[in-house]
Amino acid sequence: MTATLDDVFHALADPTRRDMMVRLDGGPLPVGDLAEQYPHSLPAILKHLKVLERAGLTESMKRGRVRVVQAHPERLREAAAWVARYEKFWDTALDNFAQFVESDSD
Amino acid sequence: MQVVKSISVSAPLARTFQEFTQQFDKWWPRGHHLVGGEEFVAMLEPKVGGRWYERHPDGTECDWGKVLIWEPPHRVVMTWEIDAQWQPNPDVVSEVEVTFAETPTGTRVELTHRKLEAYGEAAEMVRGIFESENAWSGLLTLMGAYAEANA
Repeated sequence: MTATLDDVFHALADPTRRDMMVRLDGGPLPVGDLAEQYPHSLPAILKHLKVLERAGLTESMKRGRVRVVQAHPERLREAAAWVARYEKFWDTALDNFAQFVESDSD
Repeated sequence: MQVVKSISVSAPLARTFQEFTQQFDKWWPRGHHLVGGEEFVAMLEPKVGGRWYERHPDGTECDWGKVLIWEPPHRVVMTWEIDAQWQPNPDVVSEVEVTFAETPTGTRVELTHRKLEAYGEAAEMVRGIFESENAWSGLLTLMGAYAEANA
């Protein structure tokens, strides 16, 4: 996978693209069905899908005459785990600090 | 990409700043330092360009980063040059900003660890170490908040 976490975060910075990921959580959808859910033009939807795909979050494939989009949650888990690591670390650090500074009153 | 954390403490502003920046080793989470051994002193040179580093009893020193902004007692910004394997690495530079604000009951400390995307390339190595069992939609909510903050 050549996409970096930076690509994942960029892709998810947009509410429409996040909503697409939620809809695709239920399983693969034809591009047309997905596009119908939004007020955007089809080219705009395809552009959003391209960003998701570049980040490794979705994949599209031909099924007969229909193009279908499928989500790949692994990238999402990876990114979340990465953030969670620092979340947890700084939580612990600040809690420790509060205890220290409050117990150290003059 | 960033992580933002804040906490309110019942201690005056000046002392909170001083103890945060000058007594790291008193509260730094154990197990999160670079060289082996639990005994270490974390030092921050109180000036722009100052070093932020840990020193061990045997004299070993290890840089964490350097001070970019030094505005006592309100704000300090440091680089964080530690990679995904928790090793010093000047090629992976993110930033930690800490602000201190007086409140009626003490001081509010807000910490922002930003430019975490610098770690992107190392993500594959982190994968598998930290497996998440959260539901997908929960993850998305979480990710969205972070991503928007850095859009």
